[in-house]
Amino acid sequence: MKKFRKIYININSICNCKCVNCILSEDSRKMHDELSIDEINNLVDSIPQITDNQHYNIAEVSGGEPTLHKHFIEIVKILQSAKTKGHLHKIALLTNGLTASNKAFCSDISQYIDDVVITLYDTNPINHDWFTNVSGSFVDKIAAIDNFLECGVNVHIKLLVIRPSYQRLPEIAEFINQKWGNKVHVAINGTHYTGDAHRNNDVLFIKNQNAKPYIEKALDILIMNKTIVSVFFPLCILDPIYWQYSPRGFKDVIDASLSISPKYKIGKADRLLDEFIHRNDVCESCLLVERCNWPWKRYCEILDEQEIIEAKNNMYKNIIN
Amino acid sequence: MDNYETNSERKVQIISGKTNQTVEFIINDECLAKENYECIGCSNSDYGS
Ligand code: SF4
Repeated sequence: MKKFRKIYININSICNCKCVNCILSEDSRKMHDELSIDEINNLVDSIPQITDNQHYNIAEVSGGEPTLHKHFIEIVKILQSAKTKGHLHKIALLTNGLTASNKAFCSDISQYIDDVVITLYDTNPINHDWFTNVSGSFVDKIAAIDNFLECGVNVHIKLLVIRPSYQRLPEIAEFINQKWGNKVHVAINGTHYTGDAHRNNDVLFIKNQNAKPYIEKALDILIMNKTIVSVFFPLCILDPIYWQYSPRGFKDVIDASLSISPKYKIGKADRLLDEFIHRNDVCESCLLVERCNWPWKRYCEILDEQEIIEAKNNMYKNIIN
Repeated sequence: MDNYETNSERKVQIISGKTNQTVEFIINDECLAKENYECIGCSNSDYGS
């Protein structure tokens, strides 16, 4: 049976939001790097030569805000044609949703994509727009999710564990249940403190242990509603009843993946491991190492390893076999 | 990932602090969302924020 491999396609760096937690820095967003149509054509053409038959290739188009690329529609058409030829299995888009709040634009791009990932920071519009620094971005994002669902695109809503809104995770989960029933996939994720998120960590950083009860409550609310959920968090922090919602370890996914970007062109995605993962002996020697996603690198740089050492010790005390 | 399907199940039994019951967890299993969503939407696979 074939397995999945991601092909991360980072097409530009500009964005129409200025999220306080952006994993890029303001300087890199200002660089206005982008892939040209010719580059994309060439890179996509090279996919069959550098991939194997053991994997399905899932393209994930991101930025910056990818829909702001002046040739965005042509780019997704190129990807769609690679899909028709059997070189890609699915096309997913990571977007902030602002442009897709326009129904006509959303319907145009939806012909060429299968899945969309949108991060929702809060369901209180004022709190939400504080994150993005764009007034009205909450309303636009909600409209975009409605539009994508109407167009038959699979919608993934990403919730972040982050200080200004972590206590509201259960309310956000209630909102999602009421608004979209169980028609969306919800993923609760720890924050990457890189780029602006690192620069602003004095207002964004929250200890995993403090967030735990709110994450678990939000999961309870979503699971009760039969919403499909995932949680991306160190397993020793979470109660074991939630472990089944944890995706397989980051390392496994990244090892098989490729990355295409203005800076690196095409290559293995494993350079991302060093950017994001805190490699440490505590986790290396843990029996959950292959399934757990470990703490993020910058998280441990801010806090140190003590929290994980204690959580792991407590977890081991409860293991009976 | 590559040897995953040929591996035998690796399990752990652990007491849940929340329910006080024993949970049996298959370490080398797939996440529940994968069947429907093929690993799209989670940070372990999308590295955008
Ligand atoms: S010690 Fe590390 S690998 Fe083990 S559960 Fe905790 S974060 Fe995961």
